[in-house]
This record gives sequence, structure tokens and C-alpha cells, in this order.
Amino acid sequence: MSIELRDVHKAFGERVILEGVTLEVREGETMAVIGYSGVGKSVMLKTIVGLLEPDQGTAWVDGQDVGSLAREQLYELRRKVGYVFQFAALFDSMTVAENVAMGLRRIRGMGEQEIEARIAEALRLVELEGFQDRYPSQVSGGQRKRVGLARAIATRPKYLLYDEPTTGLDPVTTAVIDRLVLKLEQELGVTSIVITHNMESAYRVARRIAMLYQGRIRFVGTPDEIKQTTDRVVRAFIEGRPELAQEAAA
Amino acid sequence: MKRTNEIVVGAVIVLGIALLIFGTLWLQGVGFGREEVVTQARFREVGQLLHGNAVKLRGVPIGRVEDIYLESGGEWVIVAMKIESDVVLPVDPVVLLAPESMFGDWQAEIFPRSRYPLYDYSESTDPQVIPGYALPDISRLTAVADQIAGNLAVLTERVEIAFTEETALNVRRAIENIQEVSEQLTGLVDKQQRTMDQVAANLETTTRTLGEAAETVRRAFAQVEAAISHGELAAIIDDVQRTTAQLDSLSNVMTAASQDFRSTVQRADSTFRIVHSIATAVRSGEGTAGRLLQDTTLYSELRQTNALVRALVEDFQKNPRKYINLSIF
Amino acid sequence: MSQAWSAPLAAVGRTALSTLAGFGRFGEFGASVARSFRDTSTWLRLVALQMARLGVESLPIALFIAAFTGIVLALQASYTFTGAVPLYFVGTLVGKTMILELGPVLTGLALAGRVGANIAAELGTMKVTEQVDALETLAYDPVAYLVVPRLIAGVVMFPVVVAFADAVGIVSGWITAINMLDMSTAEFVRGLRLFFLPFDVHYSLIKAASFGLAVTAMGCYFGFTTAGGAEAVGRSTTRAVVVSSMLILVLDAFWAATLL
Repeated sequence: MSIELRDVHKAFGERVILEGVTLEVREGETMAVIGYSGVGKSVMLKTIVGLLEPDQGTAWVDGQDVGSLAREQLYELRRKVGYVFQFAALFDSMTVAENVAMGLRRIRGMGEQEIEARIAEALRLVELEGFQDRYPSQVSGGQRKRVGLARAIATRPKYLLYDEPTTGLDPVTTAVIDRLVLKLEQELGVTSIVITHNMESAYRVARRIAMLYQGRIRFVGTPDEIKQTTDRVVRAFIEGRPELAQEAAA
Repeated sequence: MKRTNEIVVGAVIVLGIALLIFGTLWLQGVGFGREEVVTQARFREVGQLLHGNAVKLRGVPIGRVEDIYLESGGEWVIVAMKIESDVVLPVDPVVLLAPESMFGDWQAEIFPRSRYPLYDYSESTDPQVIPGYALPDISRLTAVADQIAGNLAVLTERVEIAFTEETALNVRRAIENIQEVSEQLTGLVDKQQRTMDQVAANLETTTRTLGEAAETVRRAFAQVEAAISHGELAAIIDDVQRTTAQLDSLSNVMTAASQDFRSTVQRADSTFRIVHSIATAVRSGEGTAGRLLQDTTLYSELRQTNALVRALVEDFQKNPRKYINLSIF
Repeated sequence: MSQAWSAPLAAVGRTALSTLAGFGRFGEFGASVARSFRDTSTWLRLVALQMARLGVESLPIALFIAAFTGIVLALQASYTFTGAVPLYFVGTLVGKTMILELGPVLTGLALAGRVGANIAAELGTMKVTEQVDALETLAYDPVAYLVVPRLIAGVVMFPVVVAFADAVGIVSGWITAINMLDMSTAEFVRGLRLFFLPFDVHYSLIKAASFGLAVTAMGCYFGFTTAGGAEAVGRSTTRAVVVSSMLILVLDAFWAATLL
């Protein structure tokens, strides 16, 4: 039971994004997905939760083909998946607590008291205790991201999808979030996909790292393997040396 | 916060619904707190009457039209009227539908039938259903007026065709005839009457004179008898002489009487002449008569009169006694 | 050479296809709304909030418009009728016009601006900031969560707002007639009642409900189909207001043709 993409193609009009992505995330592992901006990392993540439907190929989550699911089953599946958006995507009209409570309210049989306890727990995990009654417009960018994270983890999902959780954050906050990702993996056995540009962060949290390049997975391996790869495209990215990529292209 | 939303929304909706219901009823003219009953009326057709129009009694609004529908069969229309329950309807009521104003809104007004007995009310077998009649609206009245005007035009045209110069001449001649005949008649009647009056008077005088003469003769014979018995012969001779003289005067009287008769005839003749001159005077006023000729009814009436008069004259000539008897006795 | 004449044809074809595609997208949107109606547990508790926002909060502007419309109607009616028609027809004109036409249509147009723009901007912003996607990932049906409550609120609350607007318009016309036209209350009410039919009110409410549906549906549709950034949100908002205003006028004519 894990997350698996099989030959996923996706195009928006004439612009082809994914050209046969195949990737398996094993149960309980955290996989970092790296790649250039606009390469389709977010698109890949959205096909996993059924926000986008692949033109071709299938996405399997928890043993189910996401594309073939009826609406109710899809929502059932989504209750097991937490999604952390790049720009938090908090509901502006709600307080922090209400934002975090959104997912919890979809769980049947959960009382108000338990919801409040879960909110407090989630906010404590992202180190935002006491922020319950603030509105998204009243907190900073980094705090917003952490609220988004709190909202995703409040339901204690089996799977967590992070879309650039640390981008734009200061190093300390980045470290806090990285530690949280690890903690969730280790303590709760959460299976995660983390999209990131931050290699340091990737090395820290990921059991394995995959690189998406030109619509396909170019490389999958442990942090140690990626550091020793001879693939110039991958090396150019992880070492921040564009000249290597040009050589590879040539 | 959510609770307050629900309360506010609920309050607004309830208020809105209340406003709608109250407003609609008020605009329909429903009397709040008044008892109302539904009364039905039957019509051949209902003109422009609409749901909600006023129902009136003696000009006072007492309700409104609640419903209008065709009776099964489609021959008649039933109008249900909601009226105040404390209003007492007149005995033998009828409902008249008519425009309330010049602008097309109609009303149903309840009257006793005696007020307008002549309309063709739509009676129902159900005594609860009031008979009704819809007055024609203005447009229909206009149409009828138009029709009448058309008929008049046709009539005028026909009269123009019929009433030619010749007709006028005939009419004039007829009038002249009548004048003439009536003159003759008047003259004749007058003459006969006067003559007969005179004859009667003369006869009376003669009769009286004859009576007197007979009395004188009787007395003369009595005196002769007495003279014979008394031997007064001389007195007898005197008496005979006096009697002779009286007889002589009697013959004189008779002569005078016959002379009177002659003068009666002469007087009748002069009367006739006077009448004739009046008739001539009438005839000379031809301008006025000519104007009178324009009237067609006069023409026909005159013709009729003329015929009647002719018949009268003929009858008179055949049976003069009938009329003269009447006149004399 | 061939391109010189084929370009305009291609433009026509493209326009036609994109128009059809627009209808198709709207049909799809409508279908998803119909599907999401069953998800009562999601939208039911959100309806009150939307009713308050779309309906109750729209009352001031609607009543403001209605009040002034009533005044203008009364004055213009008396100006038009001067001499020729009895003055009590001012009441008839104010009542009929307010209930049949201006109450629903002016309120509808005002709310197309206020409510339609509001919905399009709000949903558009939610769309471009991924809040709609966030709802999906939290196992909410965004249509049931965002669209259905607004549509219901529009269909239910527009008639309520219009009912108030009709009443306020008539009352303000009445007050104007008494104070500025030397009419008596009895005259005005006589005119008001003269040709009144309960159907007038039904007609007004049917129109209002259809306008409510049109305005909220356009707001939701253009909001939901927003793609891009802040600029796209602005575009959607404008389109929602323009299209819903046009729809109101089309529906107005449609109802007049079908119901009267």
C-alpha cells in the first residue's frame, strides 16, 4: 500500500507537462521530488489526489486507481491524504482554528471537543500555539505555511503531499518543518512526497530522492546515491551548476 | 456568529413573507377581521370582469370578485363573489356587470330585480345562484350606434328616391282634395242643418196657428149652436164673418211660412259662399303648405285622412239620414 | 495568398467553437451543481451565511433604489397624466410598475453588481490561490461547499429582497403622492388597487427568483472558471456582472413573453 504513478501523461492544451512519469513511493518512506520550476512537480502531485486527471496512465494511492474512483470513494481516499499547498491556500474568511478544523469536520463522529484538541495539537506541532483565533491575513507568510501544514496533518493522514513546504522560509523555520516531516514519518508511519528546491532540506527529510526532468523521472535514489550520480543533468541541479546541464544537452 | 446569521436571515424571510401575504391581501381589498361569505351569480358572459373587481350594493363596495369560471357545458359563466356576511341582499336580487369607470375596470353591482326588470338575466335552477346580466361595454354600444346610423342612412336614401317632384305634387293634390271635400262637407252639413232648423220652426208655428184656428172654429160652432138655440142669428152671421177673416189670416200665415222657407235657403247659400271664400284663402297660402309637404309622415297621414274623408262623404251621401238624425234629434 | 481569405473564416470558426465550448463548460458546471445538490450535509449549514451576505446585506441598497424609484414614478406619472387622466392612476402606475418591472429588475441589476461581482471575485480569488483545490483535498466538494449555498441563497433571498423593494417603492410613491401631488391616501389606494391582481406578486417573485439564480450562477461560474492571477479575477468579475445583467434583461423579456 503506497503511492504509485504509472506512465502518467498530462498536457494543458498544446503544452505537454508530463510525458510518462512512473514513480513508486514505498509505504512509510518520505520521498523528495526535485526538479526545475515549471517542470510539472505540482501537476504530478495533483494527479495523485485526483485534483488533475491524467491524460494517460494511472495514479494508484492506497491500492486504488485514483482516476477510476467514484466521487464518494475519491473523497474517502482524500481523507487519508494530507496536502500542503505551496502558498498555503488558507481560507481567508476563516480563522486559523477554523481552517485547521475543516478536514476534521469531515470525519464522522468527531465531537467539538475532540476537534478543538486536535486543532491545538496540530498548531503545537507547527509551533503556532495560541494562533487559533487569528485570520490568515493577520499572520506572516511563514506562519501561513505552517497553518497550511497544520491543516494537512490535523486529520492524521496516512499520506502527506508537501508542495514546497519550506520555500521562502527562513532557515530556522525550514529546520522546524523538516524535523516535523521526519517526526511524522517516524512516529506515525506517514508516507510522504515532498516537492522541494532546497537540496539541504531534501537530504535531511528524504529516504529517497526523485528528479523530474522534461516530463519524466530522470533519477530515483537515496541521498547518498544522488550525491554520487554521474548524470550530469542531475548533478547540475543538485550542485547548482548550469554548465553541466549544457554539456549534457550538447 | 452562525446562530445570529440564522436568526437574522430567518427574521428577514419571515418578515418578507408576512409582507407579501399582507400586502397582497390588502391590495386585493380584503377586509381584515371581517366575516365574508361567497355568493355565486350566473351570466351569459362577463365582459371585462376580472378576479378582484369590486362588488357593490347601492354603490357601496361590499366585497370583490373571488373567482370566474365556466359552468360545466360552457354555456354559462359563474362568478363567485366574496361579500361581507352582515350585508343583507335585496329581495329577488340580480347582479349587473358594468364598467366602473371609463378606463375599463368593471364591477359587479347587486340590485333588486324590480329596479331593472327588463334585462335578459341568466336564471339558474339553484336558488342560491343570483341571476346576472353583463351590460354591453362602450365598444359594443358604439358598434350598435354605428349600426343604427347605418340604418338611418339607408332609410334616408330610400326616402330621397321615393320622394320625387311627382310625389310632392300628389301630396299637394291630395291636400287640396281634402280641403275641397271638407269644405263641401261643411257647407252641406251646415246648409241641411239650418234649413231643417228653419223648417222645424216653421212647422211648429204652423201647427200652433192651426191649433188656434181649430179652437176658433170650435168656438164658432159652439156659438152657432148657441145662436141657433138662442136665436141670435145676427151674432152667428158676425161670427161667420170673423171666422172667414181668421181663415184669411191663416192663409196669410201659410204664405209667410213658405216665404220663410225660401229665405232659409237663401241664407244657407250665403253661408256656403263664406265657407268657400275661407277655403280659397287657405289655398292661397301655398308656401306654408309646400313646406309641410317635406314631412313624409304628414303625407301618409294625409292620404289616410283623405281616404277616410272620402269614405265618410260617400257614406254620408248614401245614408244622409243617419247623420242628419243625429244632428237634429 | 490562401491565408489572406482563410484568416477571417478561421476567426469566425474559432469564435463559434469557443462559444460552443463556453456553453459546454457551463453545461458541465450546471451538471456538477445538480450532482452536488445531493450533498446536503456540506451545503446546508452554509446557506444561512450566504443568505445573510447575499440577501440581508443587500437590503439597504435595494431599498434605497426602490425608495427613489417610487418617488420618481409618482412624480413622472402625475406629470404624464396631467389633465388627461384622473390623478388616482398615479397609484396604479406606481403599484403596477414597481411590482411588475422596476422592483425586480432594478433590484436584480443592483444585486448583479453587488452580489454577482462579490461572488465572482471571491470564488475567483479562491480559485487562483488554490483554496478551491484545498477544499478538494480536505474531502469537500467545492461545488457543494461554495456554489450550491450561494445559488440557494440567491433563489430564496432575491424574492425576499424584491418583496421589500416592491413594498418600499410603493410606500415612497404613496408618500410622494400625498405630499407633493395633492393626492389623498384614498385616491392613491384606489388607483393602487384598481388593476391589482395577486398574479402580479407571483410574477414579481418568479422574476426575482430567476434573477437570483442568474446572478449567483454567473458569479459562481465565472469565479470558478478563473485561471491565472489577480488580473484574471478582475476579468471574471467584470464578465459575471455584464453577463448576469444581460441575462436579467433577457429573462425579464422571457417572463413577460411567457407569463403575461
